[in-house]
Amino acid sequence: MVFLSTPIFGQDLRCRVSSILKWLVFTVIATLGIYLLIYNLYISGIPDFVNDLLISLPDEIRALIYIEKIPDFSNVTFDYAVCMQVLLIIGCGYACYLGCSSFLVNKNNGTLKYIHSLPITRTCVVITRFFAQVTILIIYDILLVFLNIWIASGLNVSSFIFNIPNIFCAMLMGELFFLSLGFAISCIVKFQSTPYTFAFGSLLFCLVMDILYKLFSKEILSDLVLISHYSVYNIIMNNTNISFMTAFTSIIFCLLSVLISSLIYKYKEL
Amino acid sequence: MAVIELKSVSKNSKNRPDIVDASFVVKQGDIFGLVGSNGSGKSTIIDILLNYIPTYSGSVSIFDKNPKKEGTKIKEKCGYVPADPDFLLSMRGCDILDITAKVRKCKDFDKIIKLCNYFGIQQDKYIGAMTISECKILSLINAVFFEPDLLILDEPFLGLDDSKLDKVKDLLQYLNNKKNMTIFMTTDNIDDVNKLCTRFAIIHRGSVLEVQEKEQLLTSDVRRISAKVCGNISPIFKLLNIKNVTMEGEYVNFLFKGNINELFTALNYYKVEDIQISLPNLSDVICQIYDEKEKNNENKIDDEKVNV
Repeated sequence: MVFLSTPIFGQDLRCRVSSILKWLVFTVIATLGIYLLIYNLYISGIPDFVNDLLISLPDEIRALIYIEKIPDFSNVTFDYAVCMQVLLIIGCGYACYLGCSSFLVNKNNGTLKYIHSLPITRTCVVITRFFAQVTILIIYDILLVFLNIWIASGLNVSSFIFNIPNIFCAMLMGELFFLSLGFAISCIVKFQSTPYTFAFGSLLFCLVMDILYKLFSKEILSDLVLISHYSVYNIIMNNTNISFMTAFTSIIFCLLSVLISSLIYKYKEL
Repeated sequence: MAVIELKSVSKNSKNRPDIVDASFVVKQGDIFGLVGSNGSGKSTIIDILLNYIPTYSGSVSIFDKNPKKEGTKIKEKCGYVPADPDFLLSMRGCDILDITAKVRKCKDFDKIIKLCNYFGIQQDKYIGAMTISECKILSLINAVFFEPDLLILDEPFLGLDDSKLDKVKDLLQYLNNKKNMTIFMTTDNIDDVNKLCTRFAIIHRGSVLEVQEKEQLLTSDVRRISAKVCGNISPIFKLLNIKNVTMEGEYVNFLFKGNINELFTALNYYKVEDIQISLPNLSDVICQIYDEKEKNNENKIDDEKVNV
């Protein structure tokens, strides 16, 4: 609780308010975009056309691109799962961005010298900052839960509301993992463009790993598809829960990230 | 008692000016000025003092404590005003002061109000709406309201309005005289040293050239002369061995070292329309120090030759 009383915590929350709102607007637009896409696909007859096209392709190529036929968009459960999976990816991107910009944000708004002129240790700065970022993510996820309920009620899938705690947990764990990754990187690098590059680079890495895994079917590659460990798609479609091992790994990764960041930050030139 | 003590501090950095073997002592109750031109390493010295730069060679102690190991304890007794104070634009002045008061466990809000009234600062104004001068004053209030034992100021007069300049100087003198606050400041203006400081050091290209008492600056026989004279006065320069003469419009500027009466006697033969005599500026002082060092070196070499 000592950490929460330091000025960094309050400052971080303040300077991230606009960021939360921006990402939330982005999330809502992305969600609506997916809905519209699904709706248009559904009513335009494009799926039939694409299915015909896919059937005409040789079996080997269809196996390679892993699409046997266009999914059935009339399946509400499927629509909901796809939508939530996209929200998870956006959330992870946001978490990575938050983590990557944790220390750079002070350089950009010039508050670095003010914070470090106060009698607070550097370790305290790191830990408080991490707590502040986690709090921001929790606020973001709570807002996403409301969005989730809105989507579920819009699709008239009230039964999925029981899945919300599981979805929330999976999203938070996934975001924590990416936050920690970005946090440690932020402590090491000093280039201002890095937050954006790294946040989107890590997501791209996941997608590339996903494609490679499908191509070569190597188990090690499946482990590198980080987002798949927190798949809300599986939670909704297969009624599974996030595994204990995954949650445990996320938390351990968080602690390691804070520890490494503290050690690096202690000897870093400001 | 030494409040700040630097011994042979050196630091090479890609992003900052290098510091080469810097040594000086700031005593209790001093207003110590570190004078140097832009890029001479003044702010780097402050960054080392405040442990913003934790890796360097040599030793630094503040209140007999090592900033690397006991930085938090030092900062409890130390206020700092950066050269370009920036706060979060979405915060108000009172938010910043409130945070500092909470962290420093100082609940004497009367002092904050008095200081704000003295400078005419609106506490509830957002940082984004403040001018650079107001931000600087806010930063100063933020650094002094809890009455630290040591106040570190990086270019304190840079960007200040003329109306605030004298108030800041008065406040610093009040804090030094009445509260016995030790003040360490950097500046590129030797006039600030003349008006405020009790002791000063000159820093040039990362090296601390000389530490002097203010009186040494005033009693030095070097003066900067700016004169508007009819006729060619170059014979005077040869006669009195005056170098580094520059023309600025109708005025001739030069540095004169020696008995000023000799200069007046020589100028008697010319029609002098205007003359200004001032203390040497920073570059003059630096040149002078280098000249003296070169002279000393030459003398040493001559002595060695004679001995051989």
